[in-house]
Amino acid sequence: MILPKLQHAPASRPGDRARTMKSELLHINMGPQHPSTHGVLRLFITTDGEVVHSVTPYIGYLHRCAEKKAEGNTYHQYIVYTDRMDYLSAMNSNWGYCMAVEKLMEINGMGVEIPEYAEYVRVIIAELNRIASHLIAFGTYGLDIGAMTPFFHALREREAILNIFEKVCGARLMYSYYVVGGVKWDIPPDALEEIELFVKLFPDKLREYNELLTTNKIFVERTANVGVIDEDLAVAYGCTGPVLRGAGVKWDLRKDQGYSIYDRFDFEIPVGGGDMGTVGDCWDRYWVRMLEMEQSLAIVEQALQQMPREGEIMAEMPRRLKIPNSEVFFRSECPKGELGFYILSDGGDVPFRCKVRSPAFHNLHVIEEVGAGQMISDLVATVGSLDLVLGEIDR
Amino acid sequence: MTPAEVEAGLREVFGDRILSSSAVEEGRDTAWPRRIDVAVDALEEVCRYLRDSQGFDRLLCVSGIDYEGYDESGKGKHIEISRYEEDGSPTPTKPGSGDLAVVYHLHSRAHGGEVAIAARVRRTEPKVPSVGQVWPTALWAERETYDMYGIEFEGHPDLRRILLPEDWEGFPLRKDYAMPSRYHDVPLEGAPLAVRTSPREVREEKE
Amino acid sequence: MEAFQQMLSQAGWAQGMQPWALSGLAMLFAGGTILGGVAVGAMFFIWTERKVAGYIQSRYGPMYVGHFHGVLQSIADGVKLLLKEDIWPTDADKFLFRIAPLLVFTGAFLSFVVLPFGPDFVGASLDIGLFYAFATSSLVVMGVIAAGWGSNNKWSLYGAMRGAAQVISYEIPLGLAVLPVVMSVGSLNLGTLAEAQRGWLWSWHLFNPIFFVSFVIYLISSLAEVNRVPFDLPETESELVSGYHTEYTGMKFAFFFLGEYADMFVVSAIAVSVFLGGWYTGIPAVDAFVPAPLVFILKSVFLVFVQIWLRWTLPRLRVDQLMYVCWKVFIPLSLANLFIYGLIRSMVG
Repeated sequence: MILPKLQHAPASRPGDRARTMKSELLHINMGPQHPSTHGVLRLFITTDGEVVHSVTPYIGYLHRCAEKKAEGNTYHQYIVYTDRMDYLSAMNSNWGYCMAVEKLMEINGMGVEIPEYAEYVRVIIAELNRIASHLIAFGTYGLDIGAMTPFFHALREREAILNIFEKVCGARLMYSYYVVGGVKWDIPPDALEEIELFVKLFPDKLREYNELLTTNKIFVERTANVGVIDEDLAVAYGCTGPVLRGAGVKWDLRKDQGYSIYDRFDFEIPVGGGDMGTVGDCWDRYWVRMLEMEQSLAIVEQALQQMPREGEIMAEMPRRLKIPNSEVFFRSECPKGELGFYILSDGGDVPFRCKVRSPAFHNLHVIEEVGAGQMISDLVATVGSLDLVLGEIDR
Repeated sequence: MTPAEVEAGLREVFGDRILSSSAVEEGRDTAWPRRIDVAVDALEEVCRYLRDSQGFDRLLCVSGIDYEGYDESGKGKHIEISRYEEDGSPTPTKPGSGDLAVVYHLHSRAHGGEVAIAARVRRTEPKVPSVGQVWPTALWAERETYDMYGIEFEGHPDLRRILLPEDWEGFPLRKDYAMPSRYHDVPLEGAPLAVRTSPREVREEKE
Repeated sequence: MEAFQQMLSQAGWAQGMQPWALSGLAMLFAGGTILGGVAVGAMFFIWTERKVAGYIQSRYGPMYVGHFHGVLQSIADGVKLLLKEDIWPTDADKFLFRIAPLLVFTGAFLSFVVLPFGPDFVGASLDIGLFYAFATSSLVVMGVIAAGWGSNNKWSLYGAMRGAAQVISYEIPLGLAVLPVVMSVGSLNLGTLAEAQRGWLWSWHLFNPIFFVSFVIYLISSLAEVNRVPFDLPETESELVSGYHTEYTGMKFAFFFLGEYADMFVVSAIAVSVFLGGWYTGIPAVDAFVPAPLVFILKSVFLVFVQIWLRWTLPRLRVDQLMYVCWKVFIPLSLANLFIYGLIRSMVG
């Protein structure tokens, strides 16, 4: 069953039996209920001792027919389903979808002018959500490596962001805050104060995280030179976001595609440089996320300064949105990578087809390539460094 | 490189195997980024050409489309997704006749261009060459398209369902798909209350 | 045990008893005391662990049971575990599955017999005390293997194999590290080893440079010996689900749990008696009126705290790195240490 089977051969010389000993690979299911698969991911692995021979991911345990539902819901109604995709950064998913619909309207000449104030609100909230998502990535990565404390510290700061979101839109996880043409509610003054306080306090916390985990010798030993995804591999497998940037590719839609008002802010695109080992190892991906939090914070800070005191939060929108025959594929930079919406309309009030390009789906694909030949512990480290959210993979 | 240049290049090499492309009509774009429809048999060559000669090194997304019920006139009549009879069995749907299509969205890091390549196939014979050899990322995306639309990708090394169980019947994102009310005798969410609440024995008697 | 025997022989109701009965009764008393002490102590350590973890992670930890900072939380947990359903995996090896938690707990519990809590407070003052303690605490590994094999779970088996490899490997530097001290004192009796450190603070073995190296090796190896972070590879909840005790529930799980915490105390107590001056405070004048067991237990509890502190601060090593540290760093280092000490002694005399 588990142990290599001993086959008894006629023993003529000592040592002969050792030669006929046959060993088998061990097949193990890692998941769907496993602590470090970040949800209901099932990895079917074959191992030889501690070394993993092959990894086959099985997904779909969290499939909720999101694309089918899009065909039965109006453009506005579908926003709530985008929350449930990447539930750790629901604001970014909302925004990506809303921008896709806005783009669809724009190419049809029904352009919506998003009020400037609303654009600032959108940027601030989305960047805060990016920080919250990366905090979870940082904390759970600590858990995967065996350090439990960073997780609680990360959740403590995430809590502050969730409190802000609660004041802004009333929800703590599923926001549905962005609507086509703007945002649903204005940021209340006390929430604005809280954001300012958070911006002031957070750099210290980041320093604390780096002291606690990033530069820890054991952590570096566990993540440097492990799970290397180089530039070619990342591009070939369609990896995006921190996985692509960790491989040393300077590619960020916020700067390179320049949607919304990101051209008004001064921020860097952090890329992995192989500081501790090889370019594109687990440590690089982790480090890119840590640096991105800093950059997001800088964007929030600048947005708070530039933001007009008050303004409209929503553009004039038709009550019933009907879009003529046309299609659009719009991507936005989410914490996990490029979230794309492909929307095909045929004049009705529901999309004829809405396909979601989920970043984590393509980021997970690469594990088939990278996982083989690693040790079990390294596989856990690699899966963790991809920062998967199964809600988005399975949709 | 603009989409128009890409298209011109393609037409030069492949001639009439490039079928059509979305264009600006009456002051509005019908597709963004530009969508170029190619003949199914030319798809793999086109993709190879785009990758090697035009620098499209990233495949972003593979989407299936079922054109059953697509309204060209722009009225968008509402299509019933799926219904159940009173006893909980799915309402049989009329088999569709519309085409299926696969759309590939490409992006180039070299010149930043984006373009969509599409191939339409007949519903009766949904076979498309796999582009997994061109961009490995297509392997999973094609599995998903197969899972949802039943489009077979020829030359795919491992064409299995990816999101749904392997013994699932039918292709759910097709417009003529009838939603089953049970899966392995487990009533499905959304099935009529009669199916979900009646005890197993009663249901077996009925059957 | 001698103390109990003496007390009994003076007690009125025991007058006229046969000597063998007397010594048997004394054994029962001593065993009962140790068992009670171990159970209560382990519960206290579990509570400490949760409070310290809470403090490090900027949260409270248990707060309600027992009114004062959840002091009775462990008892509540114990009651809960007692009432839990006892689940057996379908194809488990019944005998091994049942015996494993007992082995783990017994291994930890047996070592308490030789711990010198004070000049007179020792279960059995064995001349091979140190050897005995190491031997019994490696009984734990038998339990770990039995649990991993008996559970019929592949993850558990992984945990068991890792546990066996790790504990057996780290026994070597653990043993080698204390040898210079044993050479210096000339005894394996833990009481004698502690006795040798009587006097001022600097007479503790810790402050001898050679022994200090030994102490560091011992401290780190002992973490591996009791499967604590950063060496908790047999459990590794993020890799092996819960390692060798994945399939255990209820009281069987509680035995593993108690065993782990008892083991933590054992290795700490050995470190205290070998390196940290046993029951001596380091100031001769104070020694006269401070109860010896109190000093000994406080020092041990401090070392247990250090283990807890490390657990909530550090990530975990990979299995090959763990083995690397043992075979390529600690064993050569402790051998060199032993050799140098032997050289010095043979030259100085």
